[in-house]
Amino acid sequence: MTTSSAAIDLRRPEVSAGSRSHTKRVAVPSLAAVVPWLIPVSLICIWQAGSSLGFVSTQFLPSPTDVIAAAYALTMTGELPTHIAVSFQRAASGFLLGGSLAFVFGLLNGLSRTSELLTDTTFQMIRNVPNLALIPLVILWFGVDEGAKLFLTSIGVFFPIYINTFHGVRTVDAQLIEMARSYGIGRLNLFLKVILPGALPSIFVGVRFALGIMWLTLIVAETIAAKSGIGYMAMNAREFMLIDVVVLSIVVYALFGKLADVTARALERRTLSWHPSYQKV
Amino acid sequence: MSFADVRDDGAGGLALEARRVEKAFGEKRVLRGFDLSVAPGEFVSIVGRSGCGKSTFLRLLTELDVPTAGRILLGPDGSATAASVVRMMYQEPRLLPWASVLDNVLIGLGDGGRSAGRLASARSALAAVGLADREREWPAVLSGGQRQRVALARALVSNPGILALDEPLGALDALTRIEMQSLLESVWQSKRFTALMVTHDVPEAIALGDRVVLIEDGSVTLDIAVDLPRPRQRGSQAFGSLEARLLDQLMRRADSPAGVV
Ligand SMILES: Nc1ncnc2c1ncn2[C@@H]1O[C@H](COP(=O)(O)OP(=O)(O)O)[C@@H](O)[C@H]1O
Ligand SMILES: [Mg+2]
Repeated sequence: MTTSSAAIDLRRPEVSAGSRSHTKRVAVPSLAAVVPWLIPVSLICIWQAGSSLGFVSTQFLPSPTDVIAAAYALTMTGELPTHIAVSFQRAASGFLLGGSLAFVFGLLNGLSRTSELLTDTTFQMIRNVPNLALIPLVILWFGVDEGAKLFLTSIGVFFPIYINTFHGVRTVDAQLIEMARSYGIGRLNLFLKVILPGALPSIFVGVRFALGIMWLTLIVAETIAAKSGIGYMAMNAREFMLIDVVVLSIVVYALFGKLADVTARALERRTLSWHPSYQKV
Repeated sequence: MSFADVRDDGAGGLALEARRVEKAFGEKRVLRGFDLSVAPGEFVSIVGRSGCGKSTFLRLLTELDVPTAGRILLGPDGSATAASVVRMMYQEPRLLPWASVLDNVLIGLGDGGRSAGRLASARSALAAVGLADREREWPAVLSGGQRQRVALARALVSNPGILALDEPLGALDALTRIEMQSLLESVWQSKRFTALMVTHDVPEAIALGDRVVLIEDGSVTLDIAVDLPRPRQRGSQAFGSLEARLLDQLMRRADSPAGVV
């Protein structure tokens, strides 16, 4: 009786505090939400002013409004959405394939010395080859097929996630493992309750790195060996001297990169809410 | 595994007997002819200079390590296993930072889900250490003393027959330390488990122990019964003379030239 009412009393201030700060954020955007955008927005304004006043030749750099117009036109023809969808799909499948293999091997090698002995040296050797150096070989193998892009992005994504998962598992506090064992916690629960959560912050570091490499690899692969996608759109536009479309492609990549990072951060915040650096004060 | 189901609340402590225990790490003989017997429900404080083998003994007791020779018998017929009757508390709370206070206490019940029975045990253990209202918090938001109380709840949630404590209050500030000492005493008085507490603080050893045991050169060299009514008055004369006697013994070793080990 007393405990349940106490529990409710405890919950109430949390809820009201949460909703209050939420409404406040919607009504008046806080300084922290505005500040990061000051520089990008000013740069765009300066850029637009420069173009409009004729300081910058539009042959050299199209104005922001030109880029927006190009985006509008290509959206109307359906080209832009198609290329975006294709690139997005490639990025996602490369990330899933490379990322899940990396996660599995990172865990295996982190948990088992035998597995580490068997595969780690091989991985470390492959890791030292820049994945873009494989492009000529990959084109010979796959032509400009989807296989080429999947292969390159998977490999690019693999290493940061592999290394950080491995490292995360290996650096889980040994005292916590001893503690759990002494309480009779079995292997499965030891993994689920101690090792995996302990390795998670490190795994996220790997994921954020991997996202960056994923875009880089994809851009290069699409500009060199593709018949669709944002990178192809940019290369194609270059041949026809459509500089507004070239700049548009770069902007799209930038937005994609930002989106991926924001998603990763949000996921991190959710799963690492126990971590002191993610706790609301 | 979880013996909470087997042993009822307040089932009390179990006897413990170490017989001629030896422990060597390579050439280094840490415990030699170590004898100690503890009655059910007794509170024994263990003191001794750093490196004399106190933690080593507790690790043998909890079967985290095995003796080179000799035996440690647990329970009335000496047949109980450490995994089922001994729980350990360390200087660091060793809480899982990613688990709520309640889930940390549940670890103390071993493998298993969040059944109503297990949750009820965990909640009552938390209530016993005065943290009933903090069950949903992350360990990171608790103070050092509160974290150590969660660790105590986790150690006691399964009603162990023997609780081993390795300098459990060593990392706490003086005030929190005194609070924790009286908490430890009152929890022990209500549950009556057998307690073995290693401490480097002589007044703490006297304040809590039914006996104070001094380990030197790998075996027990002094074993004094503390015949003072609880809660003990630190300022009292009897307390003071006991303290002086223990310190004197400890210091004598410190003054003697090296090579005693
Ligand atoms: N696993 C080990 N390997 C080698 N030596 C050890 C090991 N554990 C403890 N020792 C040694 O045994 C001695 C006693 O250690 P310990 O029991 O931790 O002392 P304390 O009484 O301070 O708790 C120390 O000299 C320590 O170096
Ligand atoms: Mg020690």
